[in-house]
Amino acid sequence: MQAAESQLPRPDDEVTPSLLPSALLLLGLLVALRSLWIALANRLPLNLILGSRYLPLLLGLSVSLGLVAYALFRVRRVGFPARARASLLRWLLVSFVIGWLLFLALVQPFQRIWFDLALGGVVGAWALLVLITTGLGSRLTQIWRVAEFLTFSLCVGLVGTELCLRGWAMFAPSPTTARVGAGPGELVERFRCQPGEVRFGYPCNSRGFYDEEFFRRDPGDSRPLVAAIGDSFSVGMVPHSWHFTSICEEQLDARFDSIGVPGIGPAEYLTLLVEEALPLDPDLVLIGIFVGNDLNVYDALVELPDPGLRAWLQRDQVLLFVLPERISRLRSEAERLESLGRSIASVQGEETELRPDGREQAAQAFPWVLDPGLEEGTLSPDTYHGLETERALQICSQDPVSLELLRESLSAARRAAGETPVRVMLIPDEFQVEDELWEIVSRRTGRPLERTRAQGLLKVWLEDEGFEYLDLLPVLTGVAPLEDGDRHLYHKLDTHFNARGNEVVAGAIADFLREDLERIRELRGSQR
Amino acid sequence: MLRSDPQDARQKWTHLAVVLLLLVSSCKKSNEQWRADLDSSDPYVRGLAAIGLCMQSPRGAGPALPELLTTIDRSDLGLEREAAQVLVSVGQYHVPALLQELVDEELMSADRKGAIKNALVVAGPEAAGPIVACLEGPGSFLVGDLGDVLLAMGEPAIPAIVDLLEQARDVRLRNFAAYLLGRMGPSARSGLPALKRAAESKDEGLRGMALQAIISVQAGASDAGR
Repeated sequence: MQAAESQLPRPDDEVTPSLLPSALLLLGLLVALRSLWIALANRLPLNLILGSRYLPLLLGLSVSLGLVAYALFRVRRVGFPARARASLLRWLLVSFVIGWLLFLALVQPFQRIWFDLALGGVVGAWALLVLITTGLGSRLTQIWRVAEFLTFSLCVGLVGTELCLRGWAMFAPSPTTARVGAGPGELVERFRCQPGEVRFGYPCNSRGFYDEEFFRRDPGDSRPLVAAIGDSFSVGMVPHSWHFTSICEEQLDARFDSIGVPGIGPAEYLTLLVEEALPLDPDLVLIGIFVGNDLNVYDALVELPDPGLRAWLQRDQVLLFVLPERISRLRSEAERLESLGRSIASVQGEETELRPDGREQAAQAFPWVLDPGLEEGTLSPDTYHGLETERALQICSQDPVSLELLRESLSAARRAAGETPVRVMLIPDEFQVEDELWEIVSRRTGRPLERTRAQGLLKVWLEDEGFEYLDLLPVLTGVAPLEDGDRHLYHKLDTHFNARGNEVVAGAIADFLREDLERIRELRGSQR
Repeated sequence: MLRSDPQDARQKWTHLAVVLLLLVSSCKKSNEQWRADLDSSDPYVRGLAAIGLCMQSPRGAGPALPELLTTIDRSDLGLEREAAQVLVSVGQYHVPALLQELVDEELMSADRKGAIKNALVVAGPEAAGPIVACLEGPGSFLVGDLGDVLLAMGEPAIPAIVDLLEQARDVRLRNFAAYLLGRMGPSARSGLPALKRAAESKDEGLRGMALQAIISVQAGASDAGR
């Protein structure tokens, strides 16, 4: 009697029609097959990229395919236990969440092909979990159920946490929760000057910027702090003491931290804002937009396909990964300052040595600083004219390809900055300032051009969006030419401001920001 | 019945193996498919296609070269190393295109320029002639870079350098050729007759450079003899 009873199926083991499990497993089979096909079709480049890891990848995908096929075969033949129906879906979620985390940890930056390959592994893992669940004896069922519950709860918690963090970031933007793309970050790292790199006799600081060491603003310091972000114009092609930020410091009795990286564009400005500028707690941010090439850049965030997938599978987009990293960096910064005998709120400048060069010494070392006639060209005339012609074609004869990207980057920057004011400075290209160069460029293109079209497009949007901006074009064209007819505000055949140009720009910035900085001083004074 | 079961199982496994083999071989992308991927909106797909086409059909990889060179500069894709590696393997079939790239893109990145130079070096003597022709033509401003390539090539480049030494219209290029031979040292022994003729040139600069080169070549040879 007891033996007969033990052979009767328990209610939990009752086998039900297997439509849903079969459908899901069939879908999984197709996904695994597709992954394997992709791995085989792209075997030449994948073999080169992965080397000895290619065969294990192929083997893994084959095993995944086999597992899913076997699971489907079993379900079709034996049926599916009722007790495991909910487990089927729970393990599916667990497999996807663990796959998601592993992808974020191990397979970066996101590329579609790796996602397609990873899917094959995920469905195989899911199939294995389903097979284990349906094949377990009664002894292990309880333990397995506990494990299932725990992992499912953990996975739901992780996804929920990420969703909550994103909601928080959307409704209360702050530097800590801003999400930036891996592409701009990598470009910044690639083109940033090396710490200690000497330029015109002045070393770059420990962050790789051509300026003094940066320290977080001391609330007790009456001097306002302006973070000036930009590309090679913010780095400058002049001795440090002749850069417009250095001159602005003298004229406005304020601290101007020059956060510049050559060769970058609007998306990277956002990265610099979040990663470098805002941690300093500036009173104001000034973003320099070089009209010559900031409207024709490639952006990793906007123009790449699969933005939806990237939003979840690109590590710099996932706050679960980004936040701990940022907190760790802040802690390291505090420790670094402590090792220098400073607290994180100490006033910058009290303990530094004399600067290696002043404006007079720099002028003596580099005579072309005072006399543009002594400048030597950086590029060959033909190359330079070709470069300027190409830029003119891009911004003076058609809608610049990255205009929308620039707009989105500036909007994102303003959101990330929160209550810190963001000002924009439009830097014209030399052909927009020097008439002789404009004639050369116009002749070479052989078509009608609108010289200031780019500024026109930008200013309409900036005004609509309520950005306060400084357009340097009328400032620079307002400078009287020298005897040879040129204004000599850009270094010869170089595209960047020379010392004369930096002086003019500094004066314009001083006029532009004077009221802002006085307001900040008053506010600071009243708070004391 | 029992005796046929192992045979049935063996047959089934054989059929399965054949099916798998057909599956694997059918998964190979054709050249046309690689070329189609070169037009993808995804730069990573384009980069993979450029690499794939170059590996599959080195001689027919012309359409992939621009994308391959672009990929070398795309650090955000993470394929720059592989692209540079593949460029080296196909460079010998596309020397004129690579030289043209050097001439056209004066502002190219150091990475891209380095990859092209490596490819030219590996291309060997087949590239030496076109390099010299480029130096005499639109690439005269590339003496530094192409000189590095010829030096790195070593002995196989000597006949082309000797041609430059003896036949270049611009005496500065002849000077440069003598300089290169001198830098090569004893391995440039086969260039000695041309250097000796150049040492009798009417041009003082060329005479001086040729004499220095002869000393370098012979001194190195003497040291080797000891």
